[in-house]
Amino acid sequence: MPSRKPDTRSKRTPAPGREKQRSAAGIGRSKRTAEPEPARQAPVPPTGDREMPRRGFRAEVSRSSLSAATDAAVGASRRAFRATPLIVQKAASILEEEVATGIGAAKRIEQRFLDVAALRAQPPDAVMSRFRRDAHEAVDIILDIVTAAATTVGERAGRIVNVTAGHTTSPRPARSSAGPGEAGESGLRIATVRIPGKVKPGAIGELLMSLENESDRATAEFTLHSAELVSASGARIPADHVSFEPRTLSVGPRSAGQVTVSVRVPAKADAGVYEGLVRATEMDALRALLTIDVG
Amino acid sequence: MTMAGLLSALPDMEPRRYLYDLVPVYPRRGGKGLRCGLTIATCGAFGGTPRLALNSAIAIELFHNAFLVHDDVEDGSLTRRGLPTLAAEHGLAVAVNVGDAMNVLSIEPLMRNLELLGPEVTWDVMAEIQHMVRQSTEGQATELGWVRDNVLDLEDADYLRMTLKKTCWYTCIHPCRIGAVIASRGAIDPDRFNRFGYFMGAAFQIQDDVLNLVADERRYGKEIGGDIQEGKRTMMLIHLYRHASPRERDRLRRFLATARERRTDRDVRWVRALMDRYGSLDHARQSARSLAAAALDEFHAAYADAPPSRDRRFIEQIVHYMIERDL
Repeated sequence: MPSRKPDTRSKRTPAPGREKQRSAAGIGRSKRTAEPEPARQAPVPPTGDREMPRRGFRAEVSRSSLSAATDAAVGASRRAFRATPLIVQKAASILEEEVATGIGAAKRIEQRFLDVAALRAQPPDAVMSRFRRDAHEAVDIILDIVTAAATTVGERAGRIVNVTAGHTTSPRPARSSAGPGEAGESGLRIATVRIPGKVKPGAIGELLMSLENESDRATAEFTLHSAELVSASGARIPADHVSFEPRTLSVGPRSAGQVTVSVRVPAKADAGVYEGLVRATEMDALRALLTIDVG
Repeated sequence: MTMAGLLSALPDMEPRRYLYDLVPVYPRRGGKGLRCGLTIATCGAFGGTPRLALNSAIAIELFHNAFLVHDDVEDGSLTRRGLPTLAAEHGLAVAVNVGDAMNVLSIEPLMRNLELLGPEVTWDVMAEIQHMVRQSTEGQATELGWVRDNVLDLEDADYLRMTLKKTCWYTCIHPCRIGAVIASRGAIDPDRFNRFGYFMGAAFQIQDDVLNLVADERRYGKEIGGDIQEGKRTMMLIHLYRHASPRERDRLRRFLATARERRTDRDVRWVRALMDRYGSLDHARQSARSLAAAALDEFHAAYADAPPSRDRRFIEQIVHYMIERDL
């Protein structure tokens, strides 16, 4: 499963004791801490290193110290965990899972929009008047705010593609979480992913694309591929100039995968905005319009 | 204070008879006030004033009562806090609509937060409430599904997850989170209250389930708990099903597949006796005690930087009460 993005809340001024505190009961914070893996052996250095006494000695001291400390920590953790009633251990594990899926999903929504704090800082009267318009539409209003944020920071939002097969999150697809991309007539959403800034001919443009899976099932393993990129004047960047790292992946339930998209712009490419369709095997519904501004 | 604020926030207008007169019926019947108490006390423990947390406490209390109205409809319950349920007294349709209205009315106090707390904290509180309501409905759906499909092959972990979602988020975790977010203007990471709130909420729920059986027995001598009659998937019922003999399991499954109104007292007493025989109540009691003790540990971690105050002591006393509660 891909790692979670950092919490945007970290931008706030930390309060005293804000750092997550260790349980007084010594309960594992997650399954990983609950059931620590055995300390792995430090890799054995190449023979050449062993033949160099100073370096070898240092390495041995360092490893043994580390190993002792790790063993002690793991041992203490295990003892504390064993002393914790099973029911509490189970509860702690369940909480970790639920927090990871529930609140994590909510946080991911926020993380799409770096300027959301600025949006929140709008004059209260303006937001209040919107709230007051109709309490029944509170959810829609929140969607409006999110959409406005997406527009404001389109570049950021243009890095997100939803990989949930056949998924539509809103009866109004134009408000979909796929950023400023729009739904096609078929009802499929086409997200737009933009390489940030202008890329010079001969240079490589890159962006980190987020592939979000909102469903509670992992996706099948899929491989990304791109068509050639075409400009309005008909100039082309061949498909094999577009690469994905990783190219093949699957995304766990309610999580996001990160893929680096690279476009190698030919040295003789004309200036202009080039676009091409990105698709994926095993993902009929996934379509993203890759855009790069060459100049 | 929350009750006065709640009642004053309700519309004084038509349609009274079928809606607005009925909205305060459940809140007026009284309750523990645990949710609003935790919200206001946590806010106070971290330096906020009760006034700052009042709107959010009212909203949580309104959401809670909306849940109760709908819960009674979904469970087919006839009484609530010793009096007829809204559904029993006014019909299903009216009761469902009153619950809907309470859900909407709970948004208004949150809107008022904007003037008091500013847009950023208001947004944070809204996000907390959104998560709270969603989790509660998911937990409720899980439990309703178990009863509808007569799911019995469950484990403690299933029960704990259902309780976390149905009860703990909105009874304990989010009230603490919201109180701290308001007091600190969003500076405190609310995740620090997750474990405390969960362990406390789960311990409370298990204790309530145990008392539903034990208290009835003490009070009436012969009456057996309504939870068994309802087929509620308590920790005791799950434990019993796991440990019963195949023949007993089969009878238990048939009993729970029977329509609720056709379940006999004799069968209910049989289930209750079986729980004693297999130590299901003791298992639940021990689990509640363990969770309550863990909640106390987590309290000290979560409120470590809250200076001594009446509010901090109030919350700690709740945990101590839970640990010392006679089951």
